[in-house]
Amino acid sequence: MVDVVVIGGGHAGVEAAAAASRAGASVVLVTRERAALARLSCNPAMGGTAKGQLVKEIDALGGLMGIATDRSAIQYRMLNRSKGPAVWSPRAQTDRDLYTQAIDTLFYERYPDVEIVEDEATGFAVNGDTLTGVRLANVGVLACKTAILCSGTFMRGLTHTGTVQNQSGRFGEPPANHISADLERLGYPLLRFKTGTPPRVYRDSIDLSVMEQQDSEDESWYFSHETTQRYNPQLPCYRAYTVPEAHDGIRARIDESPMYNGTIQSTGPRYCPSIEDKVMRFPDRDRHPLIFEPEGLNNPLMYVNGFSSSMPEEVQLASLRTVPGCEIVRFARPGYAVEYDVVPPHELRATLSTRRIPGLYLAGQINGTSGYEEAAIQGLIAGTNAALTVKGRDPFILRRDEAYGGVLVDDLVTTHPTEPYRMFTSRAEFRLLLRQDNAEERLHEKAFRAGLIPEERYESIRARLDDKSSWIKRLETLKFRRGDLVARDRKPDQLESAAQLLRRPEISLSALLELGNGALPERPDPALLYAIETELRYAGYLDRERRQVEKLRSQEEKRVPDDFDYDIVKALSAEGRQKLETHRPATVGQASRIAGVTPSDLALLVVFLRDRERVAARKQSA
Amino acid sequence: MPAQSILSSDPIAALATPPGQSALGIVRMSGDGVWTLAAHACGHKSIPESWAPRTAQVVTIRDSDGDVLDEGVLLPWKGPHSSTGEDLVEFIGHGSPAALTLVLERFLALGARPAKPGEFTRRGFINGKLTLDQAESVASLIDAKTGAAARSSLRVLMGGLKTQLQMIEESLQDALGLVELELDFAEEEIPIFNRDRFVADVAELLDQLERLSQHARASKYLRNGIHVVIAGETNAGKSTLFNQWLGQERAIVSATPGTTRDYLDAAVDWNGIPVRLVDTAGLRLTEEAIEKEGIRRAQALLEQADVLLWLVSPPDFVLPDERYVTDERLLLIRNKADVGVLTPETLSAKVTAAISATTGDGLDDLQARIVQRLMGGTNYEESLGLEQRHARHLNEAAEALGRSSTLASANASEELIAVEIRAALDALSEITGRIAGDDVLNRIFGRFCIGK
Ligand SMILES: Cc1cc2nc3c(=O)[nH]c(=O)nc-3n(C[C@H](O)[C@H](O)[C@H](O)COP(=O)(O)OP(=O)(O)OC[C@H]3O[C@@H](n4cnc5c(N)ncnc54)[C@H](O)[C@@H]3O)c2cc1C
Ligand SMILES: Nc1nc2c(ncn2[C@@H]2O[C@H](COP(=O)(O)OP(=O)(O)OP(=O)(O)O)[C@@H](O)[C@H]2O)c(=O)[nH]1
Ligand SMILES: [Mg+2]
Repeated sequence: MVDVVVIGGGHAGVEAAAAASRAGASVVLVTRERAALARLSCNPAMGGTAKGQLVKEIDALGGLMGIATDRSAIQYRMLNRSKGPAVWSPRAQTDRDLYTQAIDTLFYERYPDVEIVEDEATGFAVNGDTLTGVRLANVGVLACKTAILCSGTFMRGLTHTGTVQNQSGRFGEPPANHISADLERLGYPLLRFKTGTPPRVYRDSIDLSVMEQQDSEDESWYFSHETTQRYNPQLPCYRAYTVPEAHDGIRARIDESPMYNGTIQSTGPRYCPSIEDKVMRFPDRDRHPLIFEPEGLNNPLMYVNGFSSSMPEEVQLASLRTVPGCEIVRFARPGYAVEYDVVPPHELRATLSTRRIPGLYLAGQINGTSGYEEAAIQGLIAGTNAALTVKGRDPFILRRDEAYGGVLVDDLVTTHPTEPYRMFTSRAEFRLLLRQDNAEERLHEKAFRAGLIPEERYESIRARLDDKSSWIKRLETLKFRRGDLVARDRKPDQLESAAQLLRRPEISLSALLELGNGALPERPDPALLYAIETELRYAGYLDRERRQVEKLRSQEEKRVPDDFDYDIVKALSAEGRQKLETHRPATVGQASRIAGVTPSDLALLVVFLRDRERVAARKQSA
Repeated sequence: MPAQSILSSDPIAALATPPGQSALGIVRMSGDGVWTLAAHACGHKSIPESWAPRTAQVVTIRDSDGDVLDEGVLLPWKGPHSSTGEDLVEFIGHGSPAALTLVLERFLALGARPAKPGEFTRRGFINGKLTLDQAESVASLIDAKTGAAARSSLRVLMGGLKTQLQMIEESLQDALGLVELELDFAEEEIPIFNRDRFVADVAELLDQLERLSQHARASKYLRNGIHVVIAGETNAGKSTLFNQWLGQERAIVSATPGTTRDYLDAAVDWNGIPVRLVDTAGLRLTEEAIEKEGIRRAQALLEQADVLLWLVSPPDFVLPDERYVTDERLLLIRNKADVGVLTPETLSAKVTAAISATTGDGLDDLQARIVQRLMGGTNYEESLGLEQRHARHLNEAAEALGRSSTLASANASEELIAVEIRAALDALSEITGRIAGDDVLNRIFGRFCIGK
């Protein structure tokens, strides 16, 4: 019997399969088409604000996404470079075919034991609430201990372009309808969400020379700890703007938009509006930015970022043709919207196992999120937990102050999504702690304990961290003459510690090291230098956040048993009871974040939990 | 984001008896390490061996200089055998609001934080000091949406202020939105966060917060009274002024310098504001033992004053010594204005008012100035709802905003500005209870009277 069956080879599925395998489970990955492994459904890019941090976390946890991104990257940019290090966000344009190839190769080279089966999963075999197998269209039931469903946008996928509808999970690919029906049979509620994608156009049908060119940045950095060089030549993107006529054409035929004529009822993401949304909701703006992104090194197509649409194809085409440089643009395919089934995430525990059938895990778009990175981190968390459960080990749960992945899962299990969930840095209350530069520092302990990273890597991270803290200690005591660093200082002869001096934004650690050459013989490598500088610059703020984390710790650690009977707490508010029963928080901290749970509900919960503990303790001593 | 853990047991302190003149008053402190805090307040380095749970200790509470604030009985409790389930101390003092406030402030200075309304009860509740039945009824009481129990004095009395706070919150949310936009949508075409505009907006908000703080201060004076100490050289006319304001010949007045030895203390009422008026021994160098002691006491009193009226009069016009000259509480008053002697030119600029204690000329005006200075142009009715802990939160918000503005002008990165705006919002939400989750908990428990 297989330990873990992963259904769906998208971004969630491949990380789930790989993580479960790293954590020591036997794994079968069932997906329709191996050639579509980790296909980029939407734009050919990875990372960005908060998402880049997620990729770094995935890499710190031994995942695939960082490596595959580096191997397929054709442009690197660090967003928010002008801002503080906590919000620096790595982003890369990728070659979509190279990305899929990279993932495929990683499985071939590093996960030879993961069996990849091309088939469609149609349902589950259960005994009571125990999962016994996954039903496959071609080969029947595959017996397993746990299964992770990562069906993406495919469950009852329905695409729209104007009035043209297709049963499809992604352009040209059939939907997964049986699995939806089977989830309903098992009692899972389903919601309907929607997302959209812009047209793909032929590169040779547009005049890029009239557009603003955006090149890759020169500075070398990578998503993965193991990358030491750029793999591919770098390609630019091109920035253009819509014109008023482009908007007029859309406005004139807005009632042919399935979003506006009521054909699509489900909710799409507000942060990813279609061009028709932008035109209708912001009538005052006479232009909207567009970015033409290459789909790959030798790919004849470009992706028109900013022009997501589900208008009829001829409306999209006519509108885009008014844009300078696009007068004779040709579509490889038009933009479209897709509607699909999601399972409301209150069905989940923080392990991403479902409460209804604990052996069944859900990860990715099916949980109401959107985005490759969001899907991938969930896959990694679900895969790890499925493996650990099979081995009877403690679950793998990331805290909110520890990882964006922790914020994501905690948000999912405590809220009711009203639109596809995307990660933002502002969702993290401990944003300064969750940086792209310290993912390994934050996660190496847990990664190692769960078996996600090998011992050598763990040891080398530890050594690096030791190095970092000894540098910081030295810099806290090493004094400099202020006059040597601060221009026109009033007390130039006063001595100040390096740590103190670094709180001034204009002073850099490398400048200090230049001066302190005698006392500081070696120099840290650039990445370490950056990490040290960041730690010292932010010191006051980091201390504040750490104190805040400490303050909340007891509440975050106070567990609520999964079988807690809320009926015995008679005084709970009606709404509070309903919300608590739906979400079944794992801790008092989680309960406190559920909207509708009143403070007195929370206080009552704590009293009853204490009472339960007392009774249990008494029983034990008797 | 919840700012305070529902399970936290940091030390809190509050008056347990209603404010106002009564025979005895109690200040209570609960949480981790309160025995040690109390020991420090009594001038001990560590907890005296004689202190045992539930045994009364006769103690003297002292300020950081070792001067006496109040004497009374201290009753220590050990958790879980206390009403809060935590370590607890009760100080039973003389009931004068001013003295009790000083004791409370001393506890706060040593590290306790002002209890939120009902926080003592909440801790008892959470620590299982109530039976489950009681807990259920307490909870339904807390949740009662109507009825007197659900109405905090805050809500009744400061509807207007609350609206103002919410408007400040709105502006801050707006500003935070702009900052977050820059951080999270770096790839989009978005309006740039305008720092000058932000700094200007914050200045405005700080003004508003300052006005609200003034309400809070006014509220403190309304409850505890204004403490006015009259001081100055011998023969300046202090006792004459004291008597004049009292409307009776309480203090002995004479042309002999050094008439007043011990201080005199009286309660008067200035248009509804309680005032504690103190006449002190004239300050001068003397070898005479009794007078010396009187001067020492006068100096101790000066430390506690809200207002220090320093009388200068002819012929010597003696000014206070160094340490009071720059004291913010100092008001220099020129007395004996009825005598035809000109105020020396060097002095006239520093003098707040000229009065005649004998004739009463200028006294009403002086009185009005003192009130204005301490309480600003506040509407007393509105001020009543603001309490010490509100003042503290307003102050926290103002400090965070001040930092956000400094950061913005210093061109610091947006994510740090966001931290400070969030801190300000958190502080305000402690008053308005706007954020969901644990903060609301505190508000709801706020329907209980403080310290119960
Ligand atoms: C049209 C479109 C527009 C999008 N727009 C955006 C956007 O604007 N912004 C954004 O952030 N993200 C967008 N995305 C979402 C992004 O592609 C997903 O978030 C991400 O790919 C989700 O990863 P996943 O692993 O959950 O699923 P997917 O990447 O969708 O992968 C699912 C995989 O599972 C397979 N599968 C499904 N069901 C079965 C089954 N029963 N048996 C076997 N195999 C199965 C599928 O064949 C597929 O390979 C869009 C996606 C689409 C299709
Ligand atoms: N003309 C005039 N005489 C005043 C005035 N105020 C006080 N005196 C006189 O000044 C003398 C001293 O007055 P006191 O009120 O006893 O002065 P004091 O400051 O209390 O003096 P000590 O208690 O000795 O420090 C008395 O003779 C008063 O009558 C005033 O406003 N005008
Ligand atoms: Mg006198």
